[in-house]
Amino acid sequence: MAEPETRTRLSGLSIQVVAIWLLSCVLLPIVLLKFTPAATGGLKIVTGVFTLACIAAGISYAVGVRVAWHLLQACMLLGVFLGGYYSNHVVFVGESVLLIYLYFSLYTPEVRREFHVHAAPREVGVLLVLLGICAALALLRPRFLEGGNLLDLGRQFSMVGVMAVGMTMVIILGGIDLSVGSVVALSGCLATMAYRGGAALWSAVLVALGVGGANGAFNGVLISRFRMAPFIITLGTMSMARSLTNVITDGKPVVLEPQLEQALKTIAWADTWGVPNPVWLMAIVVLMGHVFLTRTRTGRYIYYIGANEEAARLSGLNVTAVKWLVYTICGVLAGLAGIIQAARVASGQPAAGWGDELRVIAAVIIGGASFTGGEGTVLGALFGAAIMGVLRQGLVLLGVETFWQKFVEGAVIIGAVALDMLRRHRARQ
Amino acid sequence: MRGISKAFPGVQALDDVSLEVGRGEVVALVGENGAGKSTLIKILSGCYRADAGTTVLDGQQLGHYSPRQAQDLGISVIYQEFNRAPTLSVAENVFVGREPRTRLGLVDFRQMHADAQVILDSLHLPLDSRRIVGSLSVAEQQMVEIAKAISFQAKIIVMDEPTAVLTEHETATLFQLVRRLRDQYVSVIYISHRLEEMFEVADRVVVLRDGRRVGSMPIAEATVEKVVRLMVGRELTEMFHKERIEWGEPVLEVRSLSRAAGKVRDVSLTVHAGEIVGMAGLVGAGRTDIAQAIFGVDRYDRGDIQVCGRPVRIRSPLDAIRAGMGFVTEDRQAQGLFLVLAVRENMSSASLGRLSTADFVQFASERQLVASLIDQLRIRTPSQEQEVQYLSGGNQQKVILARWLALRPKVLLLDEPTRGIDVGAKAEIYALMGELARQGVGILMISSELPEILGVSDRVLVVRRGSIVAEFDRDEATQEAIMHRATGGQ
Repeated sequence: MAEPETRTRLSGLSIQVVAIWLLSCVLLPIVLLKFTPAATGGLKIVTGVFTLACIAAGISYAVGVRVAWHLLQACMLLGVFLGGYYSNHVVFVGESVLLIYLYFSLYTPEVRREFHVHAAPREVGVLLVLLGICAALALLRPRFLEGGNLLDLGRQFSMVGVMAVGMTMVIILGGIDLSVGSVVALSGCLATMAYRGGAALWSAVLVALGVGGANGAFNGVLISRFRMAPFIITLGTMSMARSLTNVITDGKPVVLEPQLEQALKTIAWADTWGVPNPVWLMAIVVLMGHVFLTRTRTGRYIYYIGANEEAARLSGLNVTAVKWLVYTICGVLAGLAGIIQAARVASGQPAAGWGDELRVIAAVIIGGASFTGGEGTVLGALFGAAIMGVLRQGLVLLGVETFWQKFVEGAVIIGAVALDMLRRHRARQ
Repeated sequence: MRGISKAFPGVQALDDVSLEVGRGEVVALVGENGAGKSTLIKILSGCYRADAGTTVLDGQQLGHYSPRQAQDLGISVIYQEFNRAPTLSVAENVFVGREPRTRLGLVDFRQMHADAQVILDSLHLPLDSRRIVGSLSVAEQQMVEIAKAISFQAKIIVMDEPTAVLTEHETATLFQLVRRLRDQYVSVIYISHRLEEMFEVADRVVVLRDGRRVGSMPIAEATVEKVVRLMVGRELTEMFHKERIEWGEPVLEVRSLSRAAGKVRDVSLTVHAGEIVGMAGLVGAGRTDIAQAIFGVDRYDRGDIQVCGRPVRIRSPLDAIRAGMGFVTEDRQAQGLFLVLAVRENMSSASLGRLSTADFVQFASERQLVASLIDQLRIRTPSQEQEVQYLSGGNQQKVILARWLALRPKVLLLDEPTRGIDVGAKAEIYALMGELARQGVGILMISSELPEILGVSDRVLVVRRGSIVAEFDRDEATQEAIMHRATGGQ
């Protein structure tokens, strides 16, 4: 009764899935490499990766290897992204559709049980929506997939992505942090001032992180130790941080000498191994956040506290310390976003990050977290941030008036929450 | 209701169940937790849709209907947690959403209170319609719910565990009310885990087991043994199988524990290894406060606690856990479970320290531990990853017990460990307590059910107004003696 019957392999495998697999493993490479007129080297790699992934999927599924499962997901995604990078939108759209279909067929309850895939992987749903939007955009405007454009996109949403990691933790905890947008401005300006004043670049970065951390720790102390409502406290620090920024900078941008400007710009505009630095930063933060939340004890404590604070306390958790830590992390990451922002414009802007808190919260909620706490993932938040970024750029590419941008963002948030409620409803029935 | 079936992911909750209720008949619906009672009631009240089967009311077949439509049809359900607005008056609660209006479209309060009073009087309820519901006792609030049902011209009233929160006297009043309803040709479906009660009010008993109807008989033909046998599908030779165990050293010693802000006054008690100490008393006497003070949920001002002969200073639950204690709280949902998390996560929440190295959770050992506990406690769940909110009450309780057993505690504090769970699960929990005692765990059990206290305990402490007023050995404890001391007798 306790352990599900794991011997019945291939149980969740439907005919369609087998058909798709055969198609991917055999037909796809032939069609692509034989009949596509310009089979570039990149395209060959893409095809190879994807085919291998599909074959490996079949094998690992058949023998029930669990680790391979996550590896495979990564491989398949890589295939899709490479398809996009080598700007063949036919390949990209085709593989996206295939992947969406595969996920839908594979994430049956039987498969989930067999592979110990925890709960309904909500972030997968978000990813599928993201892929769908990308595929639609690629069809309408093939330019969307051009490598440069994708990297630009990454550069754009990396700030929101970094902050979304911290916000995810806060929201899982059942709280909220409205002050991140103001912290972006405050930490960015202070770091730029420190840099102008002769500090080294790394110490300017530390200043930004420290400012963010201090603000977060202040929020955290009030919320955890004195049990004040997170909404109120962070609403207060949001105003205070914004005001402080204006006081310190006198409301004017902090401008640097051209030489320093160039050095600061490297943080946001230079590439490392062909990928923009902020995207690397975001990737590192996301990876660390993901590991922290899913693999560590402290990360698990965040879920416990969000799900039931009283029960968590009775389980012997130090609720105050964990809450304090989470708000501090959220602040530090907002400080990191602040330095990225300052580097983007190579100056400290007192109006920077205006409204960012809402964008970040929206990304986390789209990513499947719940305001009641106890639910949410870093990957979901990342995909949520990506959806917002892609939509933004997509609207520009499609030539929609910029005034509509916020409208669409709002509609997406409502749509995401509605979808999530539908899913929960189905789970209950 | 005929041939009702309903499946949830992983469970066939109801399988071809029929239930017929005559006009003015009181039917007791019994079964273990997870037997399908709640699901059946939720289908009747329109909360769920049945996968198969039909519902017929007064010869008329009903299609799908909403809870609201069910009320209008005359089907009212009184849940364990009432749907009341505590800051409003009795009349406003009765007529919520259907307030009589004056010609100007404003609420006609005079009319409303008059109507409410008519209903209250017709039920002989000594309540003023103007009183604020939040100031009423639980029993009175329940009666407001019944009055509300009557105001809908209810033909069928379903009562889900109505007596779970009532005192004996209040229960008697409730039964009178049920009989009065019967005389007014209102049908009542009565769900309770206290089997003795059904003989007082019910005309017929319907037994469910594992989503099937396994029996239906007039009350005259029913006996507790017969019903229990049907419920659990096996003979329960003896609910409390008490064996004598040699007590060991004291594992928990409390001396003059006091807490000014709570109901803990100069409490001294000792629990030995292998001993089960029952703590009896009226609801609100301070039993939970004592347990919470010992476990560090509330800080005590004075007194000493020793665990296994070592003095410990307990300032938080973490201190208590480190000292070797476990605490199963009275309110599963509010204080025990992480409802949106998986069974696995619920079980390991207190032992993650042992299950991780350098803050990284060792998933393999966690799964292994959880699997063995699921096995040991015979917890019915489709998998470790099932969200705990989808388990039945008995299984949820076992999950919490498992959380503490994972720590191999020396002392277990159990606050109402069998509240709201069925006979089968109760028996399993008693057996488990016996097993733990044999392994040398000292158990302090709070319970409001005297038969349970008498059946399980080696020693009984009686609490009144935050102090221990009497102590009985197993042989000298009787229900009368305990009640006498609990209510203030000498």
